[in-house]
Amino acid sequence: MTSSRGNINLYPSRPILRETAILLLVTLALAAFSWALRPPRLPLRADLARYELASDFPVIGVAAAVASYEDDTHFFIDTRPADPLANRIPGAFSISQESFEEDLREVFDFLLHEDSLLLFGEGNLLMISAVASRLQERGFVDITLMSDDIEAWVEAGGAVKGPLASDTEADHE
Amino acid sequence: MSEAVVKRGLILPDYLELLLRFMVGGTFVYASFYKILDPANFAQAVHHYRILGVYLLHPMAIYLPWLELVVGLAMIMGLARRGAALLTSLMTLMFMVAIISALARDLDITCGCFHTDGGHIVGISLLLRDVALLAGAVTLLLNRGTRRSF
Repeated sequence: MTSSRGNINLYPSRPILRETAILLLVTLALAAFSWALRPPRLPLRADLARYELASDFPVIGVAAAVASYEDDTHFFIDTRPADPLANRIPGAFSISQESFEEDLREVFDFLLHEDSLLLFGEGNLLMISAVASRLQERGFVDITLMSDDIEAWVEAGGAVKGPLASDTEADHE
Repeated sequence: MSEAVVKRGLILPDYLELLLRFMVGGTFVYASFYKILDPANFAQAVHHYRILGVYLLHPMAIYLPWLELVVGLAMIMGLARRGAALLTSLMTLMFMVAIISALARDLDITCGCFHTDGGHIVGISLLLRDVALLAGAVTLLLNRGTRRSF
């Protein structure tokens, strides 16, 4: 492309804008097509109340959680997505956000609404409280969150099964 | 940017351009999969940044993953290369602004970059990864190249 002064213009603006516009339009068509055809359809206007995670659950540190485990005062709920290679707390039930309904069905017979639950995950309280909120909606009233992750749990001397288990499993099983 | 770069442009060897295209494009394609399959969880991940409001959250969660896919594929296939490079640069800049904003507000969240559930915690390492991605995208944007796209 040659500019009006005869110099070679290696950075023509119009072709790049045309390419950008085409890519944006193709994307718009694909996204609209996918949104229209594939249920469940996400509403175009978000209900932010759905995303506001309850923050009034009590949060405890790993030391208090280990004490609860050893005193057997809580049922432990692992909110991380299922991963057979992950470290697990022995006896903990698994209820993750992504497979909440299936997970809850599997453990429902073992839990009562008045049982004390202690939820833990990857140390991300927003993620953990998302599961806590859904359990609360299902009638569970005594829910506590652990603020630390499983590595901190192991460091605090908590029992674990899995790759990190070498030091602690023998002590606790 | 030096005058020499502006006048002559960057001229990458073909193999290097191809490598960069696959790295940057592949990253965007990979990042799009989980989000396209699970827009609701992606919307939640975006909401954790607390940047978008009620009108933008879901349209963004629906549109952005497809944009990542289209732009990533275009870059890999060498179609609309400059446009794809411009969009990947802008998207990466946007991600960096979101990460910096989350860090500034001390938000303890996961990035939602490659997985809608879990994933990397937002932090400096994530920012550095995006800096590398931006460097690749901008290099492709500035690359004069020899082939026409489209």
